[in-house]
Amino acid sequence: MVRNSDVPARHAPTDDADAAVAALFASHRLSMVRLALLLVDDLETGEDVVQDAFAALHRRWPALADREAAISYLRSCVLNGSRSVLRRRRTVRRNPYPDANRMTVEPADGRVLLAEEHRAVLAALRLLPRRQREVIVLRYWAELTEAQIATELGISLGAVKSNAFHGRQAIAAALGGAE
Amino acid sequence: MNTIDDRITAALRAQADSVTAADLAPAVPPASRVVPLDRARSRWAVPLLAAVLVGILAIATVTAVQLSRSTGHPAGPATQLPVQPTPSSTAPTPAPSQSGPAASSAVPSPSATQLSSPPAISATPPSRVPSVAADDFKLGYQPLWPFGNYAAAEHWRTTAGGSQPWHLDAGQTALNFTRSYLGFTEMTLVTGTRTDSRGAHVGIGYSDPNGQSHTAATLHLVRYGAAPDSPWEVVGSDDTTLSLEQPAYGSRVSSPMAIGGHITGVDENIVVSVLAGQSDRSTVARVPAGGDHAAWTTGPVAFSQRGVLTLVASTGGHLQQVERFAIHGVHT
Repeated sequence: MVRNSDVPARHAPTDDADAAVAALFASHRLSMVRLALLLVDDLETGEDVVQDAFAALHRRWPALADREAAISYLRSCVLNGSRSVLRRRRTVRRNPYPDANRMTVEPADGRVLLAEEHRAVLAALRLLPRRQREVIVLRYWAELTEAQIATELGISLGAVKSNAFHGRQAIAAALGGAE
Repeated sequence: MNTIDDRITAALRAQADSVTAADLAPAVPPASRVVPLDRARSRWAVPLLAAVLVGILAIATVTAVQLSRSTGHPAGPATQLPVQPTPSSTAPTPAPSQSGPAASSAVPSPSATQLSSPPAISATPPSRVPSVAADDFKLGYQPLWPFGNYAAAEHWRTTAGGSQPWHLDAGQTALNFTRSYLGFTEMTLVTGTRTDSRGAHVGIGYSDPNGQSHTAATLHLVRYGAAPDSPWEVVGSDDTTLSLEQPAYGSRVSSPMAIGGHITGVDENIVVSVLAGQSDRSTVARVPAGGDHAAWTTGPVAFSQRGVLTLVASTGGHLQQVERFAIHGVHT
């Protein structure tokens, strides 16, 4: 039973929230879409995930204790949203992980434009378990520290290290053991 | 670029940097438009609403399934659409080349391409069972028409010897798809073509009695292959004032399913059809709708088609039978 006093006070989003979220939207939408793209392989879906993340941030804004945490909150929303997308795809495809052959919705010439070497790395990345992929993206692209990744993903520092190690190892193996 | 760490970093950056601000669809940040319910109501309103919706959905599903079983036909107000005859085998008439930065909007333009004579159409119907094995090229979209898979597209490219050159023209491919596959023969114009990194976006429309051209839909096409002479493939339509959003694009569906989207308009009657080939189609629902970006849905509707399905929503009745339409690709 949750007592009323246990429920944090909620307030309607205000003009304040509108302005603050609009500013964040202008400055961080692109980087969030890029993060989502690296997780779901599909620009349009990534844009949807990010739009949902900003909507969640807007709803949450009055209750955000630390406004500086907004970026972290956004990133968490993008991670969660991307996870939901992958879960839906997995259900739909009855496949343990989204089949890049069918689910990626990148431009028809996108694969041609990327260097062969990059394509091989990205193909290996897509085959990683979800958690390893998230850790790899946050570590190598977002350049977060292991502690920050642990906070973002809500896992222990040890789990971050383990996932990063195994993810990196799997990619290296896929690339022919290159080091 | 020696270490695996460097290679991973470089690849992720390359993939991320492939998206620029110009690639993003226009969007606005969320704003406070709706006054939230007071807390006591809001705590109960959502679960209650969800329960009611689940109940309605369950009843409708059971009814639809029972009707389907008892009659052998789709439940609801479904009627079979007449099958449009395939255009005659007149020699192909390639449209003027629209490669390069052609008209960038689907706004009716004086340069609209008029259909002169029906080109010969021979399309490989979507495969009954989606086959990944046949696809060496990763299209990334749900191929709808004219090729069912990459092998068929490559077969045309490598062996057709230049027959049916309209495959190389996105505008003509979109127009043929609309007239021959969807059966919307009132559509006679390519009102605009825009190309970007995702492919071609072709405005398809018609001319009213005053000679004014109107865009009915903006179709999305991509080249089915990496070669410069790979043929165009229709993969969907861009959201405009009529959109199809449910079920999710490219998803696996089963009967019954709910089909829905958004519409802006007044006194509209949305006709929803399911196609699995030129001769395997049915109208599954007619939905009255209207408003400003108002959500519409058919509710659960039964269908019998299998394989790759093209969902079609169309509305009209003011100037002609079909004035706007949207398409969506899913599979069973």
